[in-house]
Amino acid sequence: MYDSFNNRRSFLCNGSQSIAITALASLLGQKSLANEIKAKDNSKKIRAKRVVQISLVGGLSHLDSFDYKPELEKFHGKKLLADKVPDTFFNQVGLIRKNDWEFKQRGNSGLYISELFPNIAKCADDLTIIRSMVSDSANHTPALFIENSGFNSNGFPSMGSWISYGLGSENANLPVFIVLPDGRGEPNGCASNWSNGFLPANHQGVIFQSGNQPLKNLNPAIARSIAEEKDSLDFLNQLNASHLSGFPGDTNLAARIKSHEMAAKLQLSVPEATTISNEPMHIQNLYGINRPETSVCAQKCLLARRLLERGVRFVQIYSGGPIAGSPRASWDAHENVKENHSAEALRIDQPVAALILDLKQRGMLEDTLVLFTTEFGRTPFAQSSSTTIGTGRDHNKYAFSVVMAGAGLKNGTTYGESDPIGWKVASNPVAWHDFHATVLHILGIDHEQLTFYHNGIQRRLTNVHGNIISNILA
Amino acid sequence: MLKQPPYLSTLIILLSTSMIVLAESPDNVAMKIIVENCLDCHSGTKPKGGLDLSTRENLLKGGDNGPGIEINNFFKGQMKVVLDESRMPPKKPLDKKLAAHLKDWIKSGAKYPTTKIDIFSTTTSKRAGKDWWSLRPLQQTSLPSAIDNTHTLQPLDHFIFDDLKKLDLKPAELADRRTLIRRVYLDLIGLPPTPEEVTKFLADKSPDAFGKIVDKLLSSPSYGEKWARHWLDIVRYGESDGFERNAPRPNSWHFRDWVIKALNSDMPYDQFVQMQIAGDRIFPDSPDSILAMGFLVAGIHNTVLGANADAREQARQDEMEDLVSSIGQTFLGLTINCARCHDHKFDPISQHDYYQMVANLSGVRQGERPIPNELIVKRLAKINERKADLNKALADIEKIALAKMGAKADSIISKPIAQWDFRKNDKDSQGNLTLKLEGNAKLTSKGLELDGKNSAARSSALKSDLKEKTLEAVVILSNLDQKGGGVITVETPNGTLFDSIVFAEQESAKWMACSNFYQRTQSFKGMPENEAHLKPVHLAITYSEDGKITAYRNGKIYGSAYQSKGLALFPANSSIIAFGIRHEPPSANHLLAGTILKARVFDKALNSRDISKLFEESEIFISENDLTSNLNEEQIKLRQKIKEEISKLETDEKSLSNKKENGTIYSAISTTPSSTKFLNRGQVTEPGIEVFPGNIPVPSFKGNSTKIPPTASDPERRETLAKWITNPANPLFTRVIVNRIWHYHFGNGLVDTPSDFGFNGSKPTHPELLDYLSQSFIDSGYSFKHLHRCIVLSRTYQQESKPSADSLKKDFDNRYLWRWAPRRLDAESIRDSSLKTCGTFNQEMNGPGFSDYRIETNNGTTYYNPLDKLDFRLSRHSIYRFTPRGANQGLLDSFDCPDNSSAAPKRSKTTTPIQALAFWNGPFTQNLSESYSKNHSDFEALTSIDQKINHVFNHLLQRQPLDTEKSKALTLVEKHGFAPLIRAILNTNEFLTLE
Repeated sequence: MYDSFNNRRSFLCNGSQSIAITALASLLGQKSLANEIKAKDNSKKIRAKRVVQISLVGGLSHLDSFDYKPELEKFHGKKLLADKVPDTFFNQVGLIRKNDWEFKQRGNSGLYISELFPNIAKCADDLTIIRSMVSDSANHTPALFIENSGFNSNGFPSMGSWISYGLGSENANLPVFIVLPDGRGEPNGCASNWSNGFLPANHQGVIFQSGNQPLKNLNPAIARSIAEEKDSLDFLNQLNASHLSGFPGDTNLAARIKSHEMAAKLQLSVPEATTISNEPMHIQNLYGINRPETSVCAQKCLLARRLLERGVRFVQIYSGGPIAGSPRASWDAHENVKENHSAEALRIDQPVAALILDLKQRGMLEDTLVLFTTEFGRTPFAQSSSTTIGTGRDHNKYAFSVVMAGAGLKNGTTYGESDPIGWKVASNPVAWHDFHATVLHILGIDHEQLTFYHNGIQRRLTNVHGNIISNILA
Repeated sequence: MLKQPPYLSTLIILLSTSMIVLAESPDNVAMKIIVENCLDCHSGTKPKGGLDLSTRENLLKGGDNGPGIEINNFFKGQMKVVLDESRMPPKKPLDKKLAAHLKDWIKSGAKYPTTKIDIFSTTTSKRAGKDWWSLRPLQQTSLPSAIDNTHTLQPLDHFIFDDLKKLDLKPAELADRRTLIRRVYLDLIGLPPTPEEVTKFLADKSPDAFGKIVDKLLSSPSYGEKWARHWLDIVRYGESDGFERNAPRPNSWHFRDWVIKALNSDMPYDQFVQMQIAGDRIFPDSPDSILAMGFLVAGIHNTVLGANADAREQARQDEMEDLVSSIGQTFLGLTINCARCHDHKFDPISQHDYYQMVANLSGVRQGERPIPNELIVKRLAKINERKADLNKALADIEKIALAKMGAKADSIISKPIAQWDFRKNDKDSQGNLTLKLEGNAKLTSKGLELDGKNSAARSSALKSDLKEKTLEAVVILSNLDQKGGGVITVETPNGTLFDSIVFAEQESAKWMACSNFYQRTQSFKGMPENEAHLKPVHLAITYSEDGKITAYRNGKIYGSAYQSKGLALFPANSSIIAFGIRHEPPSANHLLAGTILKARVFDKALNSRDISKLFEESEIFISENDLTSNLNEEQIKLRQKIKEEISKLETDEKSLSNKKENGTIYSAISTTPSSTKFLNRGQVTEPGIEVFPGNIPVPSFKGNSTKIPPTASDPERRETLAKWITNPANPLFTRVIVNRIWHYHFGNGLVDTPSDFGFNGSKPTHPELLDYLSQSFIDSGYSFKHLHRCIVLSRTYQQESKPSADSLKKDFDNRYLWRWAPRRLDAESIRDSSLKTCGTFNQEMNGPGFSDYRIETNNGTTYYNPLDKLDFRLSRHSIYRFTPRGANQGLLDSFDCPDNSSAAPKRSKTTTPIQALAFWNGPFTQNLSESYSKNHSDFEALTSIDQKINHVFNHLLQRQPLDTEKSKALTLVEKHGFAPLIRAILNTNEFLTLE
């Protein structure tokens, strides 16, 4: 009942002054809920402490990247034999199209990865590929919402927010959940994709932009001298201190005073964390900072590593901006997979591979979870008239691939299978709820225990679903 | 939550509740045990193991493993075995004592009550039953005694003080007057008082000084602006669609303005609610009804549905859940929406109840409705009144002639030039035109059947020219998805000139008057067709001499008439009448799939009176000549005079009609309710039985017996629902709203979950007080302002906020109100107070809002980014701020302004460094600090820095600076000017906190 297990944080902090310190820390998002729970239950294994997610917007073709389907070549130019006309978004079911990139076996594990991602392919032995993802929607925005929050409409907390709520921060001087949008704009649904939903606002994804003010409002909107800034803050603190003396024991008022101290620290820590130019040249080159075609994503990946290193829990990097438009600024290859995916992959292949390598060489991959996801896949048949092999592919929610790397995973493996042409899942379907449950599990959180009361329901990231994919766990 | 073991709690509930259905006999205890432990699995349509324990009969019958008990030997059945072996419930077998009780019960004959028991019968430790506290009637309570030497106690203080005494807590002292005036201003109008208002209040020594302030604030228009925000939070009001496209709703603000107006006029709460659910039906004469019904469609709306029928139905069902959810939570504190896929897991709401609620609301659709211009609407009403009188006078004269001719009074004074009744034959009974059926067209007893692929019928050539005319037909369509087929057409043989009644050509599912190259075509702006595939509809389009084209559907004007550039002349001997085809040539998208029952063509534009007669199947036509020949001179003259006046009135009507709409409002559109199916597991792919409108059965409340007939129209359904909800005997209706008002005054409700009064919600800290205030609210005629006065004038409300260490230890969260717990202002109040105290508050009320977003569209999707700008246009009260969904709201975001994608009955209050950065560094505060001196006209005139510092403190904090503060301020100002002083004070806890 609500009285006793509303949101567990307030339950843990309620009722007595002795917990006031905890409450203060908690109000500021320093202390985590899960730490408190874990304090009681040490049995839960914590495999990863932090997460970086590269989110491909628009729908990556699994058939041209991570899901090798030799049969496609055989059926190239044939009609899909099915009882019903396949339901696609545009209702243009063309002939079957073979993969546009050659697949090769990679590394010791022999994972099949295509030439679309030659650099990522080199990391094969560090990767875990799920080839049996399914989604509830083949429509971009709802599908993105499901990928991020488990629900198809606005208003629900994203995975990063849940993790922030569950784990809190390891570095009070930086936000817990940071979002690095594609330089070409924000994906459809914008802030709803990293929304805290009904969770308190401190769990919202905070956007870091490139440029000299990565975090909004980091510096005064009107330039102030250092002396003025210092004197103003001192004056504020004096007024607040004398005010607080009238309210001994009031944690809310104390928290706001503290929040200004933390803001001041952010002003120092954010520029420090975001100054990529401090990295040695060989690291910058590893990511591709100086290559014009990879520069944007390279900066984001390198920044992500620096943020993770400094204790940020969850960094989400977007590859792809607004979905529609011409030329497309996302993976939504309706017109021409070859052209679109070549251009998009070029932007991210080297930087993402570098991120994995760099994390590994620093020993961070052992407790960092890397997610490489997309909201759905693409159809094995072309999007064209029913008698031609068009160059584009439509949306496919029935089968697609996501890739994971890092902590807690069996590496160099695959999980699940799609049918011989990659149209639908053939074995071990994985819904986003299962994916989310697994990510939380790797972080040491029981997805059924991480709840927040909202309008009559103890809400979860996984709603009333979610099975942990134990087969991919090390 | 009850901490006792289940058995004990069962007994306690049993003993402590006198109104409970079951008394405490051993048999009834057994029922409790079964309800709590067995029925979750062993009841309903598919009981586990086939065993249903809800009736004795079914227990005897048993399940897959044999009878539950055997009639001749009660100890032989499965139930005994299971109890002996401690097998059930599977995860946590029944406590031994309870098992023993059940065995005794079996031994004594396993008696059941006469009616079926179900999981809702009674509250258990796992769920609420129909005896749940919030479902019981309001309890009459006498005031506990309490005294206080410093203040006259209000009734509510008696309850609070009584509990404080019991808990050994001491109420805080009265707050000082400056704190009090600041508190009540911010609480009631969301803005702090001016220095002058404070001075005046401090000087007013009269005993009712505070009461006067309260009255002044409650009658200030700002009261509605502040409290409307609360209501909009509760009803998930947002100004964009959400989902993928997230298109803005530029015309939804009328609802917001209506809420402000209703609150300011202290509209009784029952009326306030009735208008929002069924204003069109309950208050048909009020032009505000349409505005109020914006509530029904305030939620998110998916506009990208794709082609898949299941996906479309899924989206519609999601919308219904949003609406049922909003109605249940807003007005009843019930999470009815939780019963969409299964019976409610915690509250006595069945899945069937949920679909009844859906049936109540299934006629509601989103749309734009014209806003009546009140003055013009009144004048139009007058014209219509006069026209009705004149028409009656006209009919009286015509009656004389008709009587002489032996004709009926409802005869139509015009003769068709062609007339078919296809249900009988293909003969034109008026003009002797011959008809040729082509392709698959065939005549049956149903009429002229057309398959939409290869069928049409064409007449022989007209015998005279046709210009002014009326086309009429009765048709039933094969489906509503077809596009562009013509019902009845006049055309030249090659189709280069044509007029046709067409279905869904430019606008899906709408009727229109198509013509060659759209020469005489405009949208009628009528409603989309929703039943022509189920039953015949009567259609008529009149083409007046002056070019006016009017459509009628089932005898009533369809949408609105329009003025065309002029009529076409269809020459005799070459023009024909055609059916089922828009115009030649007969390509697929010109053809109609449906059955035409009958049709007529007139060479006059009939008036609305005649059309309605045609619809009512009046079949007697009298020609003008026949009529006048049966009237005398005087009658003919009078008739002519009346006709001239009608014609003049119609001209006036036409010119007024063009002005009658003040644009449109985004609001609910009432349509014919579609049939509601019980969806197994909530899946649209698993429809079950049809469900009819009905209400949630609240046993304590007789109002639920109201039956809604299955055939009821959408407005009737909503009317019944609204009246059931607002019935004074409905205990939830008043408890929920009274608790909300309390919640907004004190920061916490008596029930801490304002939209959930069910098992998952919290229980009231002061149940008697809640019922007392609810009764008082009803007695006041549902007056919000009465309730505000009750609360604000209480001793409890006027306590100071200083904490005592002892009380903090006992009640850290101040749930028992031993002080005024200081709390941070909400985002909007912070913004508005800053604008006001810094002298740049734009008081413009009402009307379209202002947008502080940069709005960009990209291929149909709209993006909203905060616009970091401040000018006077954007300095209005925050209630007028454009509020799209899923947008980054800039400064307001960081202060917990909710994304209105879902209801926010209670806002969170966080404190974060991001918030500190936003208000310390952000352009809003920076700009206000810089412009303070400019915006206060009296500021520059002050001669000393000293006075200026006082000015800042007086405006921002409503007090003089202390000496220490002043000296520090002086140093700051002398070094850096006034801006840093203002920036710092805006950021103080004192400014941001409601103490």
